[in-house]
Amino acid sequence: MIEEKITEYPTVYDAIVIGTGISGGWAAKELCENGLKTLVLDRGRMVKHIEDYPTMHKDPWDLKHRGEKNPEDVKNQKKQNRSYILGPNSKHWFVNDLKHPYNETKPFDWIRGYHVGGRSLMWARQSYRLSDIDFKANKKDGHGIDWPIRYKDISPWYDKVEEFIGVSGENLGLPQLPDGKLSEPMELNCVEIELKDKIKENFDDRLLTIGRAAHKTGNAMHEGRSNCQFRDRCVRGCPFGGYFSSNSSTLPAAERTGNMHLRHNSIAYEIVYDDKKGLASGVRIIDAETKEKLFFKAAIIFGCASTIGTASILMQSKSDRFPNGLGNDSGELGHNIMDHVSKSGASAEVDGFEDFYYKGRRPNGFYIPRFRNLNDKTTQKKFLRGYGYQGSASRLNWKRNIGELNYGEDLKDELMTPGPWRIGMGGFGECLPYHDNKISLNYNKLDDWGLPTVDFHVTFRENELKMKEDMEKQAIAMLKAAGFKNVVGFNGISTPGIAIHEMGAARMGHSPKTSVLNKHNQIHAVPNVYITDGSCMTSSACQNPSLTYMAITARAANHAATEFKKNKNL
Amino acid sequence: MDRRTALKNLSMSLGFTVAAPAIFNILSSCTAETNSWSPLFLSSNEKYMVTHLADIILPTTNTPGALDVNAPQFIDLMYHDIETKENQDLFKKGALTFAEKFKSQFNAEIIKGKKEQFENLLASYFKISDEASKTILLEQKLPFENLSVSQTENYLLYKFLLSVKAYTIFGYFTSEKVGEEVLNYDPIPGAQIGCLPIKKVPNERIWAL
Repeated sequence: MIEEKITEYPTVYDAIVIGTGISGGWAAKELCENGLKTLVLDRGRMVKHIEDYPTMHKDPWDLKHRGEKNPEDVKNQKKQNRSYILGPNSKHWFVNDLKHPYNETKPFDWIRGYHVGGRSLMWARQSYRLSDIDFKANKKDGHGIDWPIRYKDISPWYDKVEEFIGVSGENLGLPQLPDGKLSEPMELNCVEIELKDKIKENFDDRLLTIGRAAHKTGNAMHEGRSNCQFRDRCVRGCPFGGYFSSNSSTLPAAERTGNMHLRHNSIAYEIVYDDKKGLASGVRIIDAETKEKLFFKAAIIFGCASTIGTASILMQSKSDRFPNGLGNDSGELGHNIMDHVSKSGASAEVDGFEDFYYKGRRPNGFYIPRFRNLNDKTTQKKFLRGYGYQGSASRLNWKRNIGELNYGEDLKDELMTPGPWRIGMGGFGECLPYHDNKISLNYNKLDDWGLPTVDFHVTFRENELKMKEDMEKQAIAMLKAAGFKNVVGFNGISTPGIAIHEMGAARMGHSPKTSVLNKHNQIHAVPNVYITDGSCMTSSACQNPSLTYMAITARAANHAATEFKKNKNL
Repeated sequence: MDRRTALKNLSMSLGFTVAAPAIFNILSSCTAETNSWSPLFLSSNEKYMVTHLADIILPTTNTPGALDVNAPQFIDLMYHDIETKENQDLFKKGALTFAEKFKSQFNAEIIKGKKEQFENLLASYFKISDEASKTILLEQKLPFENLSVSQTENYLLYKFLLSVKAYTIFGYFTSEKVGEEVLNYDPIPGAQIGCLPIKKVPNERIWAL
C-alpha cells in the first residue's frame, strides 16, 4: 500500500473542536475563555455575522420569483427540499445533495448545512429544558440505558447557557418543564389566549404557554446583539443578532479571547489514537478545496460535528485498539439513533375575533408542554413517554380562496383586509432508543474527497405511531373544547430525520459495555475525546434538543479545561 | 432596547448610517414597463388575453390594478421559469380554448377583442350558480387523464382562467408598489403586539410582509 501524504502541522493545540454549530460554538467559547489555545474546524465555507447573510433584507419583490422555488435550484437539493425550511431566501444554507450524497436503506431526511455556524443559523430557536422525568425515563421503563446524569448535574449549565444566548418565555413551575433564566416573553394573540383560557376551563392536566425561544428580549446586555425586531427572517441570518447563533454569539466570544484559530473548509475524517498513551493525539482533515491532507495535534478533542457527522468520524477512526471505530468497545457507536415524531395535530377556523389583529411578525408560537405519562394519574396504556405541541393562530392574507370563481374590484378590496382566523398545532413526540436504528459507512460509494458515505437504517416503531394517534386526537379535543369550528385532524407520515432533531449514535452511559461516553461526555476508554453534540443523547425526550446540547457542551468543556489545567500543573 | 438603538447597532455593523426604511429599498428596483414588453413564454395572442384578463380580475380603482404592477409580465415569467412542462401545455391548450370560445361568441379574432367583450366572456364563466361553480372546481382537482372527452374542454378553459387569476393575485400582492404603498409595510416592526384592535391598523389593511 502506498502511504498517503499527510502533512503534520507543527503546532500542538490545547484543544481541537470539530464543528461550529450549536455545540461547537459553545465548546469553542468555553475552552477559549478558559485560556486554552483552541483550533476550531468546520468542513464548510466561512460565514461572517451580518456580512455573509445575502438575503437578510430581501422583500418578496426583491426576489425574481417572489419566493417561489426555482426547479433548477431544487434539482441539486432534492433531499434537502423535503424540509419546509428551504426556499430562495435560505437555500444557500443547505447542502447540495449531488455533492453530499447519503444512502437510505430506510427513508431518512438528513437536512443540513456545511458552513461556519452550521444549523445554529437555521434552527427554529425553541428552547426547553429536559427534566428528571426525562433523565430517569430509560431507567423507569427499561428502554435503552440509564442516563449517567440527572437534572441537578446540568441545571447550572442550563442557567449559564440561557443567560448568554437569551431565551424569552414564561416560567410555569412545571415538573416536566423546569423553569429557566428567561427574558420577557413574547405575546400570544387573542385567539391563542382564547385557546389557553378554554384549555384551562376544560382540562386539568395541561396548559398553553408562549413558546420559549432563543430571541433576545428585555433589558439584558449581549455583546454585539440587539433585541429581536420581529421581522421573522431568522432563517436568513439576523443582522440585529436578534436570535442566538454561533456566528452572532459564541464564535465572536471565542474570537475575543485571542485563543481561537478558526479553520474553515476543513473536513475532519479521523481522530488519531495513540496506543502508548491511551489517548487521542489529534485530528486528520482534508482541505475541502485543495484536497490536501493535514494532521493537527492537540491535548483535548471535542466532537461537535452533529450527530451523524461525529458518529461517522468516530466510525472512520479505526486502529488496532479500536478496529470498529474510536471508543466503540460497546458496539453501540452508530446505533440508537432517534428523532422526534411529528406531523400529527389539528387545525380549525375561529369566529368572533374579526375586530382584532396583531403587529410584528412573531418568530415563535405557542407551546403545550407534555402532559402524558408524567405520573400515575397520566399513565397511558397505549404508549410510553410523551409529546408537546407547538402551534399558532393567525389571520389569513390575500392567498385565501385564490381558486374561487370571483374577480374585480370587490375581490381586490376584500383581499386587502385580514381574512378569517385560523389556528393549528402539531406535536413533537419522544422516540425510544432502539439498538438497530443505526447508520453504517458505505465504502462502495465514496464522496468527492474519497470518504465513505453514510447508510441510514432508521424507522419509527409501534410506540411512536401510537403516540402520533394520540397527538391528533388530543389536538382535536382541545380545539373542539375551545368552540372553534371545522376542526380537522391530521396524522401524516413522519419520516425519521424530518424534525431535524437527529440524535443518539454515541450515547452517554454508566458503563463502557453499553455506552460510548461517560457522564462527562468523554469516550470511556479515550478520556481526552469529548463528544457533546446530539450524538451523546441517551434518550430523546420530546423537547427541542438544542438547548440541552449547549448546556451539555458547556459542562463538558469546563470539565475538560479543569482537567487540562490539573494535568499541566502536575 | 428600542428600535432606534437597534438601528444604530445595525448601522454601526454596516459601517454607514441607516435612514430607515430607506436602506431596505437599496436592493429593490422599480421597473414600470410599458406595453411594449417581449414575452418569454406567452404568444402574442396569449399576451393580449392575459393582459385583458388581469386588468379585469384586479382593475385599477382608487388603488393600483394588476396592470399598474406588471402582473402580465409576472405571469409570463413564472410560466417560463417555474411551471412544469405539463402545466405549460395545459395553459397553452386552455388559452387556445378560450380564444376559440371568444371567436364563436363575438365572431372576431381574439387579438382584436375589446375589453367589454373580455368582460362579458369572463362573466359568463365566473358569474354562475354556486352549484355549477362547485362542480367546476371539483373537476379541476381531477387528474387530466381521468377526464372524459366532454369534460376536457371545460377543464382546460377553467384551468387557464384560474391560473391567470391566481398569478395575477400573487404578482399583485407581492409587488413593490402594492407591498409598500397600498398594504401596511413594516419591514422592521421593532416590537410585537399580540392582540391589536383592527381599528388601530391603518385602513384596516393587512401587513405586506
